[in-house]
Amino acid sequence: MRLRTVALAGAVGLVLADSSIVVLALPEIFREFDTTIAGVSWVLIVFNLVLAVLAVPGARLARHFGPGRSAAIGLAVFAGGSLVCGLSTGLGPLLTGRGVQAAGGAVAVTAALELLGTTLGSDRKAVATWVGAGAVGAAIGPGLGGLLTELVSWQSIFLIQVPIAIIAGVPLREIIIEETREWKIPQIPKAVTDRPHLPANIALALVSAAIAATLFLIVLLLIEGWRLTPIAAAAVVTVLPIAALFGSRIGGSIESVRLRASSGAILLGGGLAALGLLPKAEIIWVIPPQILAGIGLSLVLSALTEAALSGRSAAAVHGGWTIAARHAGVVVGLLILTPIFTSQLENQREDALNTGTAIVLDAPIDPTDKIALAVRISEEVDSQGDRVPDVRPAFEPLPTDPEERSAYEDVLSALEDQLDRAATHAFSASFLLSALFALLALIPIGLTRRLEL
Amino acid sequence: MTRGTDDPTEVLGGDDEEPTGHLEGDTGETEEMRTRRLAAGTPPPLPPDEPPPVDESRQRGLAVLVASTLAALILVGVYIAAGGTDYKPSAATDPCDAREWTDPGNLEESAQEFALSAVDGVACKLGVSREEVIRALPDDASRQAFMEDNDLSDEEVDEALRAGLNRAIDDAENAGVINGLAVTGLRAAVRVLPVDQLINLIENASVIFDGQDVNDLGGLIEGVIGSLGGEPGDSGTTGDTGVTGETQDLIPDGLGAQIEQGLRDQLPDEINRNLPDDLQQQAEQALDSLVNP
Repeated sequence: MRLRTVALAGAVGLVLADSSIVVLALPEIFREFDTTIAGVSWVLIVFNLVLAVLAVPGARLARHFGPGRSAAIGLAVFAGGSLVCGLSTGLGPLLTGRGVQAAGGAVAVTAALELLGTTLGSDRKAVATWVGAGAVGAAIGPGLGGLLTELVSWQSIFLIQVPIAIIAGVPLREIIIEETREWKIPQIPKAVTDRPHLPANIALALVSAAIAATLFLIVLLLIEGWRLTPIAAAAVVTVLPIAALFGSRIGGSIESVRLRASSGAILLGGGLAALGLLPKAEIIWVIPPQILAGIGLSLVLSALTEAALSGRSAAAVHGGWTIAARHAGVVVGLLILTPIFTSQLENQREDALNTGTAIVLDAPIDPTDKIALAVRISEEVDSQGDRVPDVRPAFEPLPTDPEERSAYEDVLSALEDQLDRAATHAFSASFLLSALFALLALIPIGLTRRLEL
Repeated sequence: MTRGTDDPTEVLGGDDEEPTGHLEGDTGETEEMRTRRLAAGTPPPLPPDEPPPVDESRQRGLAVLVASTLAALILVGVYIAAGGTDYKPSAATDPCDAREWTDPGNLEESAQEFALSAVDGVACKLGVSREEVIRALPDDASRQAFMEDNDLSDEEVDEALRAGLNRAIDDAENAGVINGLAVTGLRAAVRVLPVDQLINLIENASVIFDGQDVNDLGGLIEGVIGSLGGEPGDSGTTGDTGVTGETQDLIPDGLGAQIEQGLRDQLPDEINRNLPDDLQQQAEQALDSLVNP
């Protein structure tokens, strides 16, 4: 029984981790496939979109054919999708694999909620385990993905999931045999409603849009903007899950769903707003906003999921609605925010380049070398496409004369400062918009009487 | 968070007060009260009622809500105060703003300032940034890309280059680096030089000033012509034309005559007002030696 619970929780964690595990690998994929930031964002969008669309049908499938069989098939499809992703040599096959992963994942996750209910003998425990496993998966995903990307390759993130998905399905053997022998579609008691909890699901969608931004934008800012390695970025974003764990302890002592959800949305909004107002391109400044956002997301997600599932029949179906709402929110968030920050990045890059050229022109460097240096910088920037450029190669080799060398180094440092400013500022509008998403969730949270359990 | 108000020892006891001043348990009865009660033979008081768990949870929830709101506001306030709204790339300087020449006494610096003033002038005329113009200068491809990006015709670029160089001449004159006939000679050259040579003049402005008396018109004109070869320093010093065979090939046919004519058009008034006779003679000799080496 315990093994089955661990396997089911592991399956939920595995699938929902996939929403974020690939985040730190995106810059690597972006470079390898020579695509655009908007293009690479589809690696996230496709997964979340398919998961959102198929969560409820997947849950209905689980009720129709039996959750054990559905979960096993879902995990097998998920493993197949992961294999396609891990072996893909282009963006097209990778996106296809992501879609297959999500289709299998949608069925497996919603069926797992139904199975947890029977395995644990309590709906409340089942929901808590299901939500907790998903949160842990999503929280450790980026760090794990970053680690694998740096130590092995981005492909290893997907390949390692194949055996894990298969192993998670093994303890379902007995249930599958039982369901194959006899399976009756459960009837919905008249006392409970079958309609999804609209306000809670809308709030979940808004909050998830904000959370997607938190993970996606912070990682891109750290790796592409501030040129951190994936491992270093993973270490920085680990603050978020740690804060989320702390948040779950705070949330456990508050009965009121509305107060928990409101506090969470405000903390998430405040953290994201602070990320939109970073006063320097230094890691220390992204720590406090992550602490607030982490605590906030833990409070608001658990409260809203509880509200969405409370008093409703067919846990899998309503669990499916929460998955659909959350991942639809992620998709909407990414679709709205990606073009905003990519165009901002382009504008800011242009401004930084102009300011950088001005720095070169005003520098105490031999006049005949100035234009050559400005041109080398311009060429370096052009050769690096959409990303925030690394201009150091344009300055190499540095002059040997100490005075001249110092002048060049000053110019390089000033130019890098301008680029850091540009990269950081390019993400500002998106972070502020994400904060707005989180705060907008207060409307369905606050205005709906049905939210209280 | 709410414990402070629920715990009688915290309410009654200060930092310096011994907690043993209170009785054990949660009755709130002090030693003195107990003595009096025992003396009166009354039964001990019942412990105060525990607040209902729901209320306690609600209070805790409200406290968390208030704390969350404050934390969010404080964090955002600190980030704004630390300069979060100003952390962006510095705005590019408006090329139409007047330029103050730094250290005009230094010839190398003057050459640089001349080039930058010219670029400012071009950028101002075209309504683009100085930096965009700089990046457009190096070769035909970059110039073509710049023209396409900004939807500019050859005529507009030609006009802007002349306007830019004239502004550089104005700035140089205002800075006291050149004056009188030098200004006139340069203006004449700017009026007639083809676009490629105008760009050479901006890129190699140092040859105008390098190693010579900038108010010596002969040297100045040599510098200008020398710059057409693109090799700073080729101009040499006064008395040496500085026009190499290669450079001579770069000078379009009739350019010398055009410069000479342009200069003569402007000379009379200038000379009458400002210049001594020998300078005029020097200018004419320099032009003669340049166009008829």
